[in-house]
Amino acid sequence: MRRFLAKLTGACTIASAIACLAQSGYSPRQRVYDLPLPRAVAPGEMLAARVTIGPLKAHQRIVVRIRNGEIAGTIAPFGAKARQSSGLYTIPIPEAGISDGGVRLLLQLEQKDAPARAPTPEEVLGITLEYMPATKSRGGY
Amino acid sequence: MNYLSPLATGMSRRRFVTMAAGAFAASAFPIRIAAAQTAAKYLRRNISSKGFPSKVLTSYRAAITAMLKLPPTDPRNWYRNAFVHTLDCPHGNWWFPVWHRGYLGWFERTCRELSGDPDFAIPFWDWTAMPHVPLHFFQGVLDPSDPAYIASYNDFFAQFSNPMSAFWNSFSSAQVQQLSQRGYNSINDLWSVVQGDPMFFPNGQTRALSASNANLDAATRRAVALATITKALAPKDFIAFGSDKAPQHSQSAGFGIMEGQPHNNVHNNISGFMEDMLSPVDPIFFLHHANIDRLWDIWTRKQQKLNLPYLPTGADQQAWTSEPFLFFHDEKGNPAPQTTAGDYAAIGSFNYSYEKGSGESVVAKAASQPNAPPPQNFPGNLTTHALALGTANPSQVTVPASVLKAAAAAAEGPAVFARITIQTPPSTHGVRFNVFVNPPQDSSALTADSPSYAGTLEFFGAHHHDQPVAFTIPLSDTLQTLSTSKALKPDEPLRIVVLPETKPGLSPAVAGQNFKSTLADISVGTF
Repeated sequence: MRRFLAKLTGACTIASAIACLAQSGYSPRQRVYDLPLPRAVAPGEMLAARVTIGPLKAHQRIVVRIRNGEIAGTIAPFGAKARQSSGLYTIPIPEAGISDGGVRLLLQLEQKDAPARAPTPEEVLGITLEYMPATKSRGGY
Repeated sequence: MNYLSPLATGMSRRRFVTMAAGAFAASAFPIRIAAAQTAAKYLRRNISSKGFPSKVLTSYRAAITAMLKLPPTDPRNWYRNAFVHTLDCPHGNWWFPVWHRGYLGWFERTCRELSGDPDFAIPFWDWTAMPHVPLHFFQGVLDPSDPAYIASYNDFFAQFSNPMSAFWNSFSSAQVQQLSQRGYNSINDLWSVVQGDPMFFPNGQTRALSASNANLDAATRRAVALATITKALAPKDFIAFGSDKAPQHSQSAGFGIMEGQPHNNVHNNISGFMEDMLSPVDPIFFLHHANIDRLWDIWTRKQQKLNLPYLPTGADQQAWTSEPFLFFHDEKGNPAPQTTAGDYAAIGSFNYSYEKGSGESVVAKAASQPNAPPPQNFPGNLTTHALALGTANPSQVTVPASVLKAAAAAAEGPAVFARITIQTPPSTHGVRFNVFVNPPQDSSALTADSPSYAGTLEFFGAHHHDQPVAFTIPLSDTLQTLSTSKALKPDEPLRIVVLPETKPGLSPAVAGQNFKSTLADISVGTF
């Protein structure tokens, strides 16, 4: 399947805890986001994607997968008011989603009675990665 | 999962990790009112557990039936109770858990009152263990398509239009102000969204799932899976757990994992009434939210075990606790006397506890660190900022001998890391930066096999910016290795060397053509 790489414009700010959106790839079925990590995820932290979405229609949702196809999370705005406006959602990134110093996320918009497709730039407005202070249980999170 | 590129065999022998997220003021939480409920009067049971008493659902059905039969003028009427959610529920902000605790708590009391069962407690639906709608909820009044429910929007409006107008006209100025913040400036605004969004679903459309198709779909199953739940329970602070901070509870700011994943996805997967703000019309709503409340209780007990804050702290505490909740009513239909978020921070007088369910092990497994030393940071002295391919850049960082000795002594010692800030090269293609600690003078020994090797920094993907990037690299294993080989002298500064090089397989010209980078800063830290 042909992919069109579209570099995103706009300023990127690298803070100690934030990695900016570096580039995205696109196919009719999904949009691919490559996000660099400025440093490793430390003990006492977990990695989460903070996804800002635009308005969605009823029964639309955005499924977020990591590189191996595993679902990391699904953005399903609750209620018409939330659907009709932009929103910020936290998606936990599984450990398997981090490789080569970054995270690749594959986003797909699922909808009722229509094929899944890549979300438009108006539907997914941006993604940042966040190192979240987290407690660790013995044997893993 | 690391940022360190494994150089040949270098990585396999090194323990990865060790860096702190930063100091946390564990003492900064004066409110200690959310203590775990160990001897509560009421037990909220797991509907999927063996031996779940049938009496619980018998009483629930009796309460629902009674509430459906109450006149629309009674605040305890089933639909009037659902309207409280429509008018006032917070979503996408830090009042999400506490508002729903209050809402369920008063509802539970009303159920006790109207069912005649003085022991009734809302059961919870542990969707992690049972990712399908409990089949009881497709029978009788547990199913919102039952004939006991209103069958059409027109009938609904006809029955509730006048009572809701009278209810609206009874609001205090404070309530009116809150509704205005929500975008409801008149009763017509409310009916507009109930009809138009829509929030009311006629008989036959009250749910998308059915008895023959009760399973949550794949995406929703992932949202309720234990892997997601443990992540939802992992945050160390209340705001990351309970959704983002907002100026008032009708404003959405951002969804934490718990609200955005299991909460939202279960609502929408069931669909029908459950997909919008009249969702309490569906009796499964209360079991769904009891499970959310149970997870909040688990998170609270985990935080307490770790001596971490379990409510907002500092200035946030007052803003959070004083938020008015003005629409709850008690089991007699009178306005609830507790009118702020802080009143519901604890389970308190609702006096219930939960049977064990998914996620509970997070509390038992929480790794307590009662004597953990505070994080420290030691700035380094750079010999030069310039970085050149193949040329070692040495710097020195003075770290107290006691810290180095403790770190080198055992795996249980303080975690030590280096923080290295590099000015991004114009082209990062084919270039990486190897890091060594106390290396020998012979630069030919600077390889991944060296006991001094700590790791490698690489840029990932395309970088469209010219700002420095900070990397964190763990040093504890290297210090232990150096100590064993007597190359660590705790009374001397650590020598940290950054060596830019071309990745194997690329000619130096390819990578070096545009190479121009500097070492902006270096420091060593502990946690």
